[in-house]
Amino acid sequence: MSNDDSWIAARIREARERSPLVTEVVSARMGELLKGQISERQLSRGELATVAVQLLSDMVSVSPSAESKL
Amino acid sequence: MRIKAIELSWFRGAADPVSLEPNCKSMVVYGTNGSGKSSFVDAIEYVLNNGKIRHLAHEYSGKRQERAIPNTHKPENRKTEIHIEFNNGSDLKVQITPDGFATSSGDGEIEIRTWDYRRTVLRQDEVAEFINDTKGGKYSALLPLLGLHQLEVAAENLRQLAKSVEEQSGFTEKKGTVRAAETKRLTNFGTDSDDQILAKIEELHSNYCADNVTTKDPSSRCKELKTALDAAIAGSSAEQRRYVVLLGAAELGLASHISAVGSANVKLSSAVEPLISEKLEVLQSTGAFVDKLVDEKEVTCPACGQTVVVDAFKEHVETERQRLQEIIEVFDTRKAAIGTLCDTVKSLKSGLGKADVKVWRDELAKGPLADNFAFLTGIDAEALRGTCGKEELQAFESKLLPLINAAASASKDAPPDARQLTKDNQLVEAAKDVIAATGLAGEARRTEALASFIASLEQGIREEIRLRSRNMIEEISDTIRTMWTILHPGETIKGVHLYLPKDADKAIDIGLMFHGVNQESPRLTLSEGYRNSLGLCIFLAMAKREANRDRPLFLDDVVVSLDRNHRGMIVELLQKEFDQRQVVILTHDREWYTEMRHQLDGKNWVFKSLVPCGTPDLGIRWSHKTTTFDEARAQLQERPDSAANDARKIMDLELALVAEHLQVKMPYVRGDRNDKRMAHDFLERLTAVGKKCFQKKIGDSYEVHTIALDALNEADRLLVSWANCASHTFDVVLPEANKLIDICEKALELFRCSSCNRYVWIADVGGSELVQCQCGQIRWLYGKG
Repeated sequence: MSNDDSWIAARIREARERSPLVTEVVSARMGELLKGQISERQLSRGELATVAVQLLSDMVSVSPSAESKL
Repeated sequence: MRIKAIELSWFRGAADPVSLEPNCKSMVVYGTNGSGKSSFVDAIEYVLNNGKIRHLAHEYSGKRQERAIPNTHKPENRKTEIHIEFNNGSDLKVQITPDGFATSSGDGEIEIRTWDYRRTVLRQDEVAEFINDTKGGKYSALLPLLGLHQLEVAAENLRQLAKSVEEQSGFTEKKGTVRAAETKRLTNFGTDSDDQILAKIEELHSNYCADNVTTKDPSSRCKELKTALDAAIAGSSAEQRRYVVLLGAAELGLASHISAVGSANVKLSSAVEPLISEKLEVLQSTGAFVDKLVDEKEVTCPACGQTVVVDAFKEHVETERQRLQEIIEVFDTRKAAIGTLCDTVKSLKSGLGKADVKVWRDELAKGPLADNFAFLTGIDAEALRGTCGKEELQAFESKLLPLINAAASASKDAPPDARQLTKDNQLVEAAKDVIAATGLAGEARRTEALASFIASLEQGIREEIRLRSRNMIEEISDTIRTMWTILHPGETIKGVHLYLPKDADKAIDIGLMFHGVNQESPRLTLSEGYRNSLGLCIFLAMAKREANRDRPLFLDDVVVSLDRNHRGMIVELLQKEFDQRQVVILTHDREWYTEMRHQLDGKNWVFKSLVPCGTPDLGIRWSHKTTTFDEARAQLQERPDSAANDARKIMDLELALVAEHLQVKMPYVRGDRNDKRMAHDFLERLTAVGKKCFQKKIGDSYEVHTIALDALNEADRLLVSWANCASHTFDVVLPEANKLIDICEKALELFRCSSCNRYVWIADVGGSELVQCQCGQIRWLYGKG
């Protein structure tokens, strides 16, 4: 994995442009994951589930305009 | 960092400490099969691969290979040890317990742990392994060497993380609930906007919940409304309550829901579902395939095998994607319709089971609708979600629709109050579900966005892997071609290169031009020898990527299947490409060993032989036989007879090879005496035929190489007299032995050109007529003798 922070930041920026609902918190966490855990070794199913739950909880602070009124 | 020495104690073939000592130079080790030379390579592998040696990984060796690593005859009071010393003064000591646990110490450990086994060691059985591996296997083998392993790990983790995100959020279930709510919204609110629905709820709330005017949240309003409506219904007359229940049942829209599921089932028969999955997999692969189509104009479709123009192919794939997306929509619609139908049946069962309609129910249950009520009572609505097929729908139509019709009939005279209560109740129920689904829809959108974000990251990383792989394998391919050309000059197998196959991710293969024809794999045409030669080039090309790091290379019996010509070129390859690296070559090929001694510079190379296989308790032993003239000279002071005798032994061996190189026909002798000829036999013949065959260039013409022939004659004369004395009577004094060594060395050196420093047999010229040195200064004419 490239340790180049700017390379990782660019990949996250590109991915976020395609998924604008993704929050800053998720981007930041994913940046850290790519620099560490995710690039170091194959994660187990349980570890991936923990990461997934964290990311899902990081997605809650979505801007109100992105949601419908109901 | 270079290796100064590797000392083994009771490790594999070693018994008491035995040390391989290149002294930071390159080294060639000769040993017959079983002499223990590979034990030193095993030691390197053990250290680099965390205590594992691959060829010992089998069911008999034990979990930690403890049954295979220690010498079988190790006394109990001895330890199994590896001790490696490096040129910078650091070292690594590994002690291995009888049960296979290892402890290591020494400041050289950190450095050696950074060495990659696959760029350090090449064994005989590993040479062709790469060539014969699958495309995926080659990719896996090369990926760590390309330095892209971390990227691959990240991409795979992201792929699985996207799946995990959907699983953890209950994405599929949420989507189903949302779709069911959409159907309910359409049924109850038509095309009303969010604002219009909220306005209706607000109006109902002000009617039924006048005491709670401060409540603004739509969801709370629905809850309050439901409580108020239940209270209003409960407070009404028994007749009104009966009408409300029957109207509710009559207006459930069961017939339309059954019909919706039926038509969805028709569109999506069970046979279609696996097809969709299969098609999607094909399309995903095709999508990846299409993404890589940059330069091609035409392509063979991986699904149907037809050749199509790339643009048309892309369009075709896009159309297929859309078509499948539509089918997925139908699939989702069916799921939602089943969900709605199940909810409706549950409502019907609940409504018609109420005490408010007990009299009506009991009356009908006595008549022709008895079976229908029994059917309704026995329904497990939840179980229907998984199996709502044709039979179930027919049963609903025949058993439940008559009950609905009966309820409608019984409620046709319902008063306006009861109708209003029923209508309001239905609206509130629907609004409650719609509002709840709105939250779920938001969650589903967020999940979808997160999964898509992760998938984009994975895609970005895979692109990076492709890009970097392509750049790196182009660089490596250049090196492989250079090496291949050195090993196979002027041959018709050219353009050897690694490439990324366009039809697969995670794949690398080897292409080449065979007699002008492009080949996608060396396995199509190359012989075993050529494959091994190519495998060696690939290993060395990968090792060369670390040329800026002075790390040793171990080549263990890697030339077994190469013929003599190609084997000989390996020395040239090593001299050209690895003169700045420490190379340790282990071979059981005595002839090649001797050739290397001829060709490689003694200042940079150490040559050692092992004693043939003894018993395990004796272990690996170095041969103390003198192998060079310098070593013979070292004995002059103490044992001149031994020095002279060693010079003769050297001549016996070396002249046999010279005679073979120059195709000098030796008189036939009986039995194994053919293999026991002495230096004199060869010298006699070489000097005899050399008068016609051995020539030196003088000006523009060639003349007999008289200097060489005189030297050979003198060497023969001295060998016959002094060397024989040395062997039999030990009556040789120092000056005689010294002169004998000098003359013998000079005689052999005259087969090497003083201009280009290459032997007279190094270059074939003029077909089978003659050989010469590289520059043509000296030559040997075949057949003239």
